[in-house]
Amino acid sequence: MKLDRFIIRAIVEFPNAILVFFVAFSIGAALLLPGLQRDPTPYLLPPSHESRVNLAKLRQNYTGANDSIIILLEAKKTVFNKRTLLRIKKMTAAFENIHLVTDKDREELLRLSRTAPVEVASKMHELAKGHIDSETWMRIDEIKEVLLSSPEGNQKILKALDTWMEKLSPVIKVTSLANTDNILGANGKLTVNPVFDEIPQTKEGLLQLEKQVQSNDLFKNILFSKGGKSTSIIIELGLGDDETQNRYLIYQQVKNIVENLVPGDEKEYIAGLPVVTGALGKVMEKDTQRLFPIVIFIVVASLFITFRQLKGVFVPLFVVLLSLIITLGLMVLFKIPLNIITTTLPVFILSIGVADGIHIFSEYRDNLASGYGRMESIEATLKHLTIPVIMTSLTTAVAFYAISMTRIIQLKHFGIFVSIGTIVAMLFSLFFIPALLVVLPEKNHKKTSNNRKEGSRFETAYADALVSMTKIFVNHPALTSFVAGIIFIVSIFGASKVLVDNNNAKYFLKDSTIYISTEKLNKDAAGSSVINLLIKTDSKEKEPFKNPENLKYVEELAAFVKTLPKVGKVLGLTELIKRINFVLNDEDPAFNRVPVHLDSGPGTKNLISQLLLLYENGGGDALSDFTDSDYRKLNIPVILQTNSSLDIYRLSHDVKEFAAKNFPDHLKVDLSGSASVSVAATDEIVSGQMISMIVSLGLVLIMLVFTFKRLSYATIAMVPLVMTISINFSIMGFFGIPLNIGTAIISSIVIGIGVDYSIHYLSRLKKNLDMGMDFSSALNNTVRRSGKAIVSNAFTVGLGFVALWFSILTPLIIMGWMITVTMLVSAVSTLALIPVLIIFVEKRANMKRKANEPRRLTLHPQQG
Amino acid sequence: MKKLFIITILCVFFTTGFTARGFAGPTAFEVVRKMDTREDGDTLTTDTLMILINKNKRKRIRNIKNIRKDYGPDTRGIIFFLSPADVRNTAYMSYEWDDASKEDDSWLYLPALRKVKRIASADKSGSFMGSDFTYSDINGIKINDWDYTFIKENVKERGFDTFVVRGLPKKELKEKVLKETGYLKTVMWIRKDNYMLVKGKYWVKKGHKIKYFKASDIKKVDDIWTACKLTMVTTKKGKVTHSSVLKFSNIRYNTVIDDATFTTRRMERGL
Repeated sequence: MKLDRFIIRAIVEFPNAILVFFVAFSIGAALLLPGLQRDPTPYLLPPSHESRVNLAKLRQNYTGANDSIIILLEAKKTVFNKRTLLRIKKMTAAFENIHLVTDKDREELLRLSRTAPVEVASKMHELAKGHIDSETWMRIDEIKEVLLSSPEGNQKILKALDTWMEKLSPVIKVTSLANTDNILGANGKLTVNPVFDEIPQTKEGLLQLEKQVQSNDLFKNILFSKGGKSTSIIIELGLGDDETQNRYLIYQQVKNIVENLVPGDEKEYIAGLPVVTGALGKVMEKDTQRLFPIVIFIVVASLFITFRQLKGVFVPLFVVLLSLIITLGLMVLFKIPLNIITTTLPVFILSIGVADGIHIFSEYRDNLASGYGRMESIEATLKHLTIPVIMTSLTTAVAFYAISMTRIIQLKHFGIFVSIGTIVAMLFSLFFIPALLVVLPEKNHKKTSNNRKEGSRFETAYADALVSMTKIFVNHPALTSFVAGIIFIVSIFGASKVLVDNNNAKYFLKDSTIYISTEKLNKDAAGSSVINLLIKTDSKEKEPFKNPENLKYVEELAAFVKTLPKVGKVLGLTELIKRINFVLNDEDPAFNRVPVHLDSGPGTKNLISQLLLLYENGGGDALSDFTDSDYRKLNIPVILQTNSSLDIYRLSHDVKEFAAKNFPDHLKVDLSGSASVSVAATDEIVSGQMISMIVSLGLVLIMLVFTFKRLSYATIAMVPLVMTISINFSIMGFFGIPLNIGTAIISSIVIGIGVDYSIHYLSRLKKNLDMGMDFSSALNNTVRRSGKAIVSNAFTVGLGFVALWFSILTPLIIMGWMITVTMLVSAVSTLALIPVLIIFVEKRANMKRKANEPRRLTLHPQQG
Repeated sequence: MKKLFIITILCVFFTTGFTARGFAGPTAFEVVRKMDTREDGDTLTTDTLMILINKNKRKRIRNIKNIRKDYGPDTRGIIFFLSPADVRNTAYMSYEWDDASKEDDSWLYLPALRKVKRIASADKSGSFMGSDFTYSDINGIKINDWDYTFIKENVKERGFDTFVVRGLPKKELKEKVLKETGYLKTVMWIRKDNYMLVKGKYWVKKGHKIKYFKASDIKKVDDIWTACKLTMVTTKKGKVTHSSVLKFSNIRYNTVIDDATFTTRRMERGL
């Protein structure tokens, strides 16, 4: 082999140069690391994705369509008591004043105030030092006005003030009992008044208030739920999609207000999409910091168990750490930020990258132990391992690269950089480790061999066990194949039960505040996520959605949606019209509906227009939440008591089916909203990963054909992979683990790492056979050498992913478990299936050979 | 030392300014009072074109007939919708009392229901007919609840000399003013020659909005200074979120208007 000779020559002649080169490269990369950016966007889809475009349009066309934080307050008996109402009032005011101004912003303003024109300097100073209240934004406007009227630029100050202005109003609207108008109708009189202005001081007053609120259907499950025991406060946020950090800051402030600034006896639950996404960004950041030392510990521990020697620990560890640094450095160089998925890069690169190092180092030590000198050992190691290391690393890299074939940018970056990391680790293992071994002193030779003896006793027993296990399979090829076939069929059955589902709220642990709060809102209030049903018509009529004919269909749809599972609240124009019609008719239940035909002609359409005019006239401002100004498009927000993309998908499906069955041709329903985006993202992930899996299987097969130059061997090498993947899916199917962003990439990982086992195993077996060994000694040798290495590797990689068990994010924990389990399944199916399949292939080949020329059965001594 | 010096200078400046005002022209409050009590006829009828423009620049247009009559310090008004056709003859009538303790009375007539409904609403800071104007913008604010100061005493606004007056709610009445108007602060440009409000800026507490008012097309009608076009633009963080234009035509002051105009029967009869 040319390549290994080249490497050997390079290492022997310029070991120092190689070390310096690699170290210099790593130092260069390390210097870049402070420039590593974070992109904590919760959106998995790019802004150009159809569902995101639709969401942006929704927000452009309707008010009230931004993501909201929801606070559920639960009193012991009823929230309609003096103390709770006062608390709600104070909280509402405090929420309205939530801001994002930081100490840094204050310092900046203070600094600028020193050079500012006299007439604004003191005001700026006051602003920078002062308390932020509901009028701060106005004072900023005053300063801006003075600056704008003066001829000098002061651009810097104006810019800083604009930043302040932006940061002072992250809240679009707060909706609570304390600031909502109630429309009531009785005795021929319509009353439009705040729910309460002054808090009633008498029992009767409070009771009346409670009755008035509960009589309004529009408030149900929002301003009151559980018969008045709880109430919600909704904070609509005007944040950009990528402001995850700010979502988190706002969540912290809401928490602080609820728990510390306006405390009370009521239990509080804070949930909603901004809370989930904001906290997710933060938790992932924390998680990486937590997992990194754990994975290092695991790698160190498994290296120590394998080698029982400091050098054995530190050489491979050093190598993977440098590989990680270089990979991250490359990310900085290409201006790729760390995202919610690539934060797991350290775990992947350390666990996968260390494998090559282990192989090289253990082969080297085996050679040393069998009496070779240092240089010979290094040479023999490289001769043996260069090609397998390159092939296994390339197949791993290819499989991970296949993950990047998706529109999900986070996965794209993940796939690309894990494969880069794998290649870097390979280069380190092939050049850096041998060069280091040349340079490092090789002391304690005796002690090492003492250890070796002790170790080798264990290792021999372990190898013997593997051999006898293999024998069982090989001696019963038909039974083994039969059992494998049964397992495969059962697995396919299990795999067919796998559900595609992603649930952001369930990313958090079951005992986390966010999980508990979200579940509480889903149980006792309208819910915690929103999907929007968008209805449009291509009718030529003017203002078609004032026509009761059309509204009838909309009302029917709304009524149908209310009957669907997990629906907590349906809003929309028809609900509003119903309420107005109801109160206008002295709250006669017969009128709690969209008006039907009064007489022939435009009578009812006019009535609806007039009801809406009445509503606007009474100060109602929700129309723009539900309709465009031409009444050609409607938005029906549906609050859902779930965050599961599967539930949302089912609901979308039911809605579309209902519309297809019941709507006339000119009415169309579309679904939008953040909930819809999450369904689209899940679809994209799953279909993308299914494609990546197929592509990587295909690529790996090509590479295997190239490696073995025989289709039969390549096919055999694929069998354990397919088996492992189906077992992986069946575990998910049987245990109800959904297919989501975490579990979808496991298949590609199985392919990437699992194929290495097939390659190691088959290439040694083939080599042995090609050298003329008889089948059983060839197999024996393969099991003793490669089989052992495979099991060790499965343990090392599997153990590496044990680090993920310590994550505080459920999908990562599940992913950790699944990878650990599938690594072991992969090793076992390689050891069990490959020899059996080879027997079949070789039997046929032998039969052919026998027909032509009898095979020479030369017994070679086992290679030690 | 330097700081102290500046403060002294400012004090001197301020006090001299203050005393100077004592001798020259009216105080800010007097200017506002003159604006508030400006001759506006005992009765008024107009046709109003109301244009509502949303942030996507979509327009909605309504035609309204207004009739107003003063009863001493109290006022009665009635509005009929002329168009769009589907709200034609919808009528809104209100009796406004000068006595603040008395809640205003209003009625609404929906022709499709052929029914007059009484409406009670304490909320005057709410939108007037879905426009950017509030009821308090249309009916006027209670100037005694506010403190007024001059920002500048002579500013040219579209060729005319104006007083620029800042209004802040009186400290003890702040809550009340907020409830009635929604405003934290106002700045008004008042013409010196006829005490007309020609420009205004209003800071709205809810939602951190700023509204810009402009009166234009100003002329004498029946010898009374009248702005035939009023614009109100609502902005948030410097961006326009909604705007409204009121255009008045067929303006007539001091015609004889029968008291029977302001009855529910008249509402039912329509135009």
